[in-house]
Amino acid sequence: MRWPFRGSSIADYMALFSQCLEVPADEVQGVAAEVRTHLDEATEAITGPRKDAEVQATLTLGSARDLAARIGAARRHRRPVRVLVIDPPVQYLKYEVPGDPIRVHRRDLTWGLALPVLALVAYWTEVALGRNPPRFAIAWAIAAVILVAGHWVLPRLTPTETARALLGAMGVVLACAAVTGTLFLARIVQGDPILWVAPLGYSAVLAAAMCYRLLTPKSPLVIGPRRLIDHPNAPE
Amino acid sequence: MLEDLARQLKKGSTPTLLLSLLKERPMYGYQMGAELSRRSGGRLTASEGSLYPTLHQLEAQGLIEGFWQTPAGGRARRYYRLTPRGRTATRTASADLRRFASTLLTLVPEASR
Repeated sequence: MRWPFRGSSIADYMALFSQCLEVPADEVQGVAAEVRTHLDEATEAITGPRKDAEVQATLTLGSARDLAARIGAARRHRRPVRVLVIDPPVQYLKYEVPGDPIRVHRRDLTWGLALPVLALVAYWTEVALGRNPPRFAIAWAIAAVILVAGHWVLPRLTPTETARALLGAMGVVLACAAVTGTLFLARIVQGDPILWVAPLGYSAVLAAAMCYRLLTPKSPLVIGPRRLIDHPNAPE
Repeated sequence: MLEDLARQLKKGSTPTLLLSLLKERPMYGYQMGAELSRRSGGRLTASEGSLYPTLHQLEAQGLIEGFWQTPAGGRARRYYRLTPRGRTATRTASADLRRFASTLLTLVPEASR
C-alpha cells in the first residue's frame, strides 16, 4: 500500500490492517471483523463498479496502518502490573492484557537512542568550551536524561510505536549530524570528526531499518519481540 | 487555520456525539456515522477513520460495551450500547458541551454584524 493512501481493495486493506493491529491476541479477529463489516457495508452503499466502490470505501476509513495503530492505542493497557528483570539485557513487563499478557522491552533500545546523542553533544561541547572541561561528563549527563526517559517510555509502546519513535529520533539525529558534518567540512567548526560521522552512519542505518520494519511488518527479516510465554526463563 | 479549528472542534465533540446517539438505542459503527450525517443534514460527518478509534477508546474507558448481533437474514455486526457509567458520563458530557457551545456563542459575534 503506497503513501499517501489512495484507497485499495478490501482484501488488501484487511490483510495489512490485520498485520498491523497490535491488540491482545484474542481481540484481533473481532476488531478485524468489525472493520471488514464496515467496509462491506460502505461498499454496498456506493453506486458504481464494485472495484471502485471498494477503493472509495477504504479511502474514507483512511490508511489501514494508521487505523490499526489508532485502534490499538485505544485498546491497549498501558500500565504494567509489575516489572521483572530476569535476563540482564532484556526487561520484561507484564501487562494485564488477556491473551497477550507479556510485552518485551529491550533495554538496549534506549542505549541506541542515547549513544548518538552522546557523541553529538560531546562534539559540540568541545566546539563550544574547548578540550579543558570534561566534555564527556556533560554529554553523559544529557544522555542519562534520555536513558531514564527511554526506560520509562519505550516499554509502554507497541513494536510499531517503538519503530516510529526510533525513526523520529533517528531523523533528528541524522539532521543534527548532517548539519555538524557540513559545518565541519566547510571548516566553520572543528572537532573530532568521529563524533559526527558515527552518529550519521548509525542513524542512517537504523532509520532505514525502521522504515523497512514499518513498511513490511511481517517480513522474515524483521526480528520481532520475543514472547516471554515461549521463553525458558518465563515466570509463572 | 479555520479548517483546522473546525476539525479540532469536531474531533473534540465526537465522543459526546457518539454517546448521545447510543443513549437512544444500541447502534453499530457504520450506522452511527450515517446517522450523524443524516441528522445534521450532511453538515456533520464523523470521519470514519476516527469513528472506530473513538468507539474503542470509549469501550476501554468502560463507557460503552460492544456486542455482536446478527439480525435475521442480515450480516453480523458489532453493536455498541451505553454502560451505566456511560449513561452518567453522557449526561455530564452533553451538559458540558451545551454550556461550552452557549458560552462560545456569547463570545463570538454573528457573521452578519
